[in-house]
Amino acid sequence: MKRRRFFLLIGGSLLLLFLACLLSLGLGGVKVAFSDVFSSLLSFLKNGEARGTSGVIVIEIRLSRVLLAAMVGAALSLAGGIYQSLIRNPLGDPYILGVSSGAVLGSIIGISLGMGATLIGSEFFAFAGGTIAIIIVYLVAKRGGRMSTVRLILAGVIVSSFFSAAAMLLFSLSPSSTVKGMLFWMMGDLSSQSLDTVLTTIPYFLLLIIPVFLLSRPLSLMMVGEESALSLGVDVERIKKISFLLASLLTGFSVSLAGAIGFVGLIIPNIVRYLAGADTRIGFPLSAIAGAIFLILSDTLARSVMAPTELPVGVITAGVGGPFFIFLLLRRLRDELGD
Amino acid sequence: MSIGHPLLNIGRLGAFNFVKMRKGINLKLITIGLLLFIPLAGGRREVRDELGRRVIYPYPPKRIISLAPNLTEILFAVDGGKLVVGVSDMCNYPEEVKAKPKVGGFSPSIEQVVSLAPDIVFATTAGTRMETIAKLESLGIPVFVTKPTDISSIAREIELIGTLIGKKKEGGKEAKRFQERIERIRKRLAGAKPVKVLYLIWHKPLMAPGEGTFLTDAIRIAGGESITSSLDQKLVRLSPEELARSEPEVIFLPPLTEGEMKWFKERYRFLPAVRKGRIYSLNEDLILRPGPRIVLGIEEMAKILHPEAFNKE
Repeated sequence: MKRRRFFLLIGGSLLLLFLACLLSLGLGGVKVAFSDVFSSLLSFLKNGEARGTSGVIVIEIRLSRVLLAAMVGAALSLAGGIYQSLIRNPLGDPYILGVSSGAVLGSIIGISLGMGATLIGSEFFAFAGGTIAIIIVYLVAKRGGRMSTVRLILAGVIVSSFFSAAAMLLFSLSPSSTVKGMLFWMMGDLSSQSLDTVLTTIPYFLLLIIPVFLLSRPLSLMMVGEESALSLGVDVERIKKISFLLASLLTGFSVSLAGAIGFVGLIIPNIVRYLAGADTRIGFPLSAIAGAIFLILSDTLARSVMAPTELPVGVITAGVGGPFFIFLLLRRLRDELGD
Repeated sequence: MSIGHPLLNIGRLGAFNFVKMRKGINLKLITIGLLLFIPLAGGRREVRDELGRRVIYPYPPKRIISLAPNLTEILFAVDGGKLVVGVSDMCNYPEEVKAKPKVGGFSPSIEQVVSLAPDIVFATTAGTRMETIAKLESLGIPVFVTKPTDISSIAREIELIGTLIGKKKEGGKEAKRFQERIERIRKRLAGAKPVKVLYLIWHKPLMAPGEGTFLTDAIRIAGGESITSSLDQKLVRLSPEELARSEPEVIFLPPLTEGEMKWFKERYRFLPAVRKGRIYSLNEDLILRPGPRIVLGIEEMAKILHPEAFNKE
């Protein structure tokens, strides 16, 4: 019975994901008929190339964006989900916790050192920056075994501001045209990666998310209580370390490919938890799929509403996520402070 | 970043000591003398800047600060270089500029500007924040703001700045020379079919100049038509879909490293301009500065867009 519910939910959300992809391939600043979308896809699958302007738009531009949005959306949602279960607080999100700014700073340092052109290079720097940020936040926010929401948010804001300031310093030292471009990139940009780059990152993405699903059982047990998890044979400390590392890696992966996109990791796992319950074994895969759908739709909106100009996708996700964050924060503080 | 300090500025300190000494001798006499003198010499002038703001400043000004590279170049071109006592961090032409005190970049150091005691400050809407300008004015420093919108506005500004600083003749001559060189390029390209151009100010994400910018006008004079020329924004974040649809024949990129260039060619391999290798980088100090040297940038661009027009003699 439980198994059936699992497959029903996953199957249903995968179907929604598929529909979101089709929608996103068909919509945008330039009109492409849905029949052209299908013929372009078919010819790409058959010959591996895009033909004509609409083919180029559907394959080289939109398909690469859809795939990237799906991976980044899933990665950010999973990172948020992991942070939320680890700190047992619904406000965990790579952006709010300062991990994204850490990763952005790392990327910028990598680019300044001339390593930006290689995927692994920028990935490594983004990961290192993100990890350093989350370690600082963790150390600042931890008091005894528990983390208060206020401490956590304050630590996140402070670390985030500090890393952003350091990034600004690097900007102010770089040539003027670089600055504007990088600032725009920082607000999230799914448009700049080529289809080839996106395709080559798929294995890395899989390498990162498979362990997350393996961790979902011990994490789920830990959420109930660390003692009971210990008694069931879970190596709590090790699981914690691996999870933090993975979440930072997922954030670094996203930032190095698409800049800092906020609030995906906040909204999605919370909604999924509300709809499907606290069990991360179903929560994680659902979050990944829902995050993918959310970012695909956000990006479609970002490139359509003001076409041929584009909005930074971070503006859209923040527009949805900001109010959501305030709602969660107020509710959480009410629970904690009891008023 | 500049590391200049007001106290290190010997010349200024000297002037200060001088005033202090005189003040001791006979302050009243000097005050009366000044009060008599100002209306007689007409030592102040009132003008409207390009934003329509009133600017009242001592004429002719003896101490000028320029907050933008294009204005510095104009000031030097109209023989006002000796009057310049401070420049922005970005100012690097002509050579003599490098010895001038620096006052900062997009948000210049107000203290530094005040300590240099300028008679007038020149700024552009693009290069300085309006808050900075308002702050300087509240401190009693007149700021003349320019807003270049096209190439002929640059000629006007050259002439105007000459007049403002008491170099009317030089300004007029320089403006005429500028316009003649622009006309020469126009004449050479008369009848040439406009080339569809994408000028990228930044490549990741795609950023391009829109309507009402001098860069869009410069592209037109060089015999091109910017594919983003009709977009009603100064700086357009261009959607790649639009780029694919509009198929530019020539693409100008900011100066990129080899790795970035490889990346760009790979990302936009579907564009005919990329396949045909018609991607170029121009000297940004020439083409992105609405000053006298933009003529050279336009020439450089025109030669790329219409080599046939320049080879035929």
